[in-house]
Amino acid sequence: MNNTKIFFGIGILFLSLIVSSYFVDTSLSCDVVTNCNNTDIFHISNETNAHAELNNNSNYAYEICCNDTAGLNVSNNCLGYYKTLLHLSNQTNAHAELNNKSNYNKFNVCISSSDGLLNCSYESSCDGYDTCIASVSSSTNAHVGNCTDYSIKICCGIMINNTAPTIIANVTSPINVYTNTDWKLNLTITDPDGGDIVTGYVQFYINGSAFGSEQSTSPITNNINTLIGTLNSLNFNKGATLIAEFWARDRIVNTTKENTTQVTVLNSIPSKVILSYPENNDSFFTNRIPRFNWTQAIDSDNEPLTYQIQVSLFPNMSSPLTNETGISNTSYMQPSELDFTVYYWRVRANDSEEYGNWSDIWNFTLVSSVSIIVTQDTMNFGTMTQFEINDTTNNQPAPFELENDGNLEANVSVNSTSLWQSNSAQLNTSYFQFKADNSTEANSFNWVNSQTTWANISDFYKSVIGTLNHTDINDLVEIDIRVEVVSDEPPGSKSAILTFYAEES
Amino acid sequence: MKLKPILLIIVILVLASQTYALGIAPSSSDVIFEPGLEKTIQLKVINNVHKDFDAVVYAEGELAEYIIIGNPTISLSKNEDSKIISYKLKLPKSLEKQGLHEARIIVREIPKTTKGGTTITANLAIASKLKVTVPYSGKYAEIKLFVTDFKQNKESNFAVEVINLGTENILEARAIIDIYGPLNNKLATVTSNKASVKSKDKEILIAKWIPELGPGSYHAVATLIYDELNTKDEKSFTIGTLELDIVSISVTDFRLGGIAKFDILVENNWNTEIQGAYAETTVKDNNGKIYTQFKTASADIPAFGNQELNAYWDTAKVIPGAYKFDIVLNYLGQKTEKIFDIIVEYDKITGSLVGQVIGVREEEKPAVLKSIYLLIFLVIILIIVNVVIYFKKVKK
Repeated sequence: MNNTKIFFGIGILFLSLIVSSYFVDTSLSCDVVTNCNNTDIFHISNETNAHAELNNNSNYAYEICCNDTAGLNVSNNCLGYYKTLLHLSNQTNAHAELNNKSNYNKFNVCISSSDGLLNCSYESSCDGYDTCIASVSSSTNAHVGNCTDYSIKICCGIMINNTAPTIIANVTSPINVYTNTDWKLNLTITDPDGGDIVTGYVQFYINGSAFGSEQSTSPITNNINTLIGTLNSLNFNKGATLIAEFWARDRIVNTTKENTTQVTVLNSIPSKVILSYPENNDSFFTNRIPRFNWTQAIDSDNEPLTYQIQVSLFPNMSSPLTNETGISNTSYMQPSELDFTVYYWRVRANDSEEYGNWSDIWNFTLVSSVSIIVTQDTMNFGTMTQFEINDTTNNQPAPFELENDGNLEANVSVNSTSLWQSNSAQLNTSYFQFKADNSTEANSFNWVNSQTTWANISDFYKSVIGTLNHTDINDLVEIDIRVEVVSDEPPGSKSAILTFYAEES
Repeated sequence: MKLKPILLIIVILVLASQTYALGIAPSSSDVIFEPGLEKTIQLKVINNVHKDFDAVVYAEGELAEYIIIGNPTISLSKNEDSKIISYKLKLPKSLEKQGLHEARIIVREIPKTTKGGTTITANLAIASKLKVTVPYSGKYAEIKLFVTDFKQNKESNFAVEVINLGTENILEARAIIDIYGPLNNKLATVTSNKASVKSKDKEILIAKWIPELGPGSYHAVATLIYDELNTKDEKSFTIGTLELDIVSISVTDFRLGGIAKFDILVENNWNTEIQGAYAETTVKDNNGKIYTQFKTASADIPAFGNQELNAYWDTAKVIPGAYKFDIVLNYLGQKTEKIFDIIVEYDKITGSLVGQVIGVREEEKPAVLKSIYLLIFLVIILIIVNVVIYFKKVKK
């Protein structure tokens, strides 16, 4: 006995579930109008106390016009699944009777639906039904009027055989949201009702405030992960909290609304730095105090960036010699001279919260260079007379000035072709001499190791400067020249080519 | 009629002041001897001042016979800042002596024609050395110490490059780096990692160091100990940044209309004395009108100490009010600038700092630029003189 009750109870519960989940109320609506744009059920001669005619007649201006607000099919056919609302005595100018009378059996007024379940009845009030279609004065041989005319009202409702869709999965992407990534919601929805058009909806919330609602742009296919909406990254900033409220609807019913897990917009790391100078693989790089340059990194959060530079002797950047952080511009001036070897370097940006990725590793080979600038290429003593002596110590003419433009100390030697024609004033005599002297840049060379007193110029190289500095503030030296005209020097133009020879110290 | 010689002088000056330059990189190339080694070595000839010139390239020295120059003559145009040349080294099967053997690859400009009078034309030649080392029998290493710009209490590295120029492998090498102060007093010692170095190979040893010394100049001596032998290299380096600070200004015993004496207190955070520091001061009003400029006497600022520099301002025509006192401190090619707001009253001057410290490394202009400036200056002077002479003649 107990088992029977239990089974009965379960059966009732199951049935009620079936009913509640499969039959859903929609809304049938009928009105008396003069121009029916929906389903024309039948016509009446007046709104009250009227005769009736079938809908395929056109003698009466008043039409009983019905539709389903949910879009269910509603027709006036007396075929398929239909309800007979009235019997008419004729096609037109007819009296009516209820469908349970049998005086007029030839002309029936029907309402039907191919996808709905109609429920119609004669009642004194249409409470509990979707709509009142019309009223009649009696059960037979009756006049017809609108719903307020008579006490016998024709009431109808429509139910549909429908199952609400189910949201199987909701996925927001990407998992990590940044200020440069749009936030997307995808839903996987299933709806067992064949032919139902299912739509997914989303309402985004930024920091708790609704922002932008969207719906799927095309009908959702069952069990297919479908993009429902996208929240553009322009609308949120770093640190914002994002939630998507979502639901689905077939043509009849919405699912309940649910929320995704809240995500917080993360800090965007700065972009990878592009290096620019010293150029990669430069195997003749000569600047010992280079200004390392790179292009500005991009930060999607528009935060101020600083940079970190590493310079190492190893291709894998281990044990860097330079590891400088907090550089506020896109260059780093090497503070002191680098030594000659191969260097590897890289840079990354920091937005005060995180570092971006390291740049590519570039390398350059710093090589020694000897480079000499002579600030004038010609010295002219003008016209000279026999026994005349002239030199450049009084700047008339100016001495040669040599600047070490290389990147290490250099030794300089000098030789020359012969200036005079006289046999007694050939090279290696006191008639043509040289010496080194200080320039405006004192301490530019090693005085002790240099020729600082007059020495005879020769056709072979003689050392004039020992250890000429290369640092910009002390790398300039004067080379004085002394000439003396011997008594037997024949007249005419005199010239010599003085060659300064430089090599590393 | 007098125009011609003046113009001639200008032309001569322009022509006479042409600069001449030549460079080569690398200035030396190192090769470890291997019998019959053939190697192509590239050199970069540098045309610093962008001139058209021709040059000859040739080899000299002990190893010259093993060098084949690809192009014995080269031409560079003013549009080329450099040109890559190469030579081929073909070493013999043996060289008698172990150790260093050298040659020089010389690039010499082909001289241009000389001018009239008694003229001496400069010509340039530069050399790149080729250094061939025949490995020493047994164990022999050379080292190169790399230093960096250290910062107080921040870890950084010394690096020691070890080149094994011996015929035997080095089983274990490590470097000990002693750090000395300005008075040659040893202040710290750090030790590198250990490594083995194969014959003719090189390794880099690293010694980490967190400097706990004050800012200044120091000296590092690296001693490589390898299989009971040792060798040394040394380098100077710095900790922190050399910068003199303008600490304060003060004026005492002041009466409006008299001479105001500004005491500028300068602080040296460096571990050596900074010699020859001086300040250039300017007093302006808020509209930028300059009232006085003054250059102080030079002074030596003691290591980690202070020194006063004195500037003076004659306030005879000065009215009480607010002014700006701009101080540019010059030392060792650097500048530090600070601007003070000063209030001049009848019996006192008070000042407070408004400007921020600006440390500027003075940029030295190359001699080429200097001579160009000088040339332009001379030309302008000569033109002015010429114009004056012309107008005098017209008046007559």
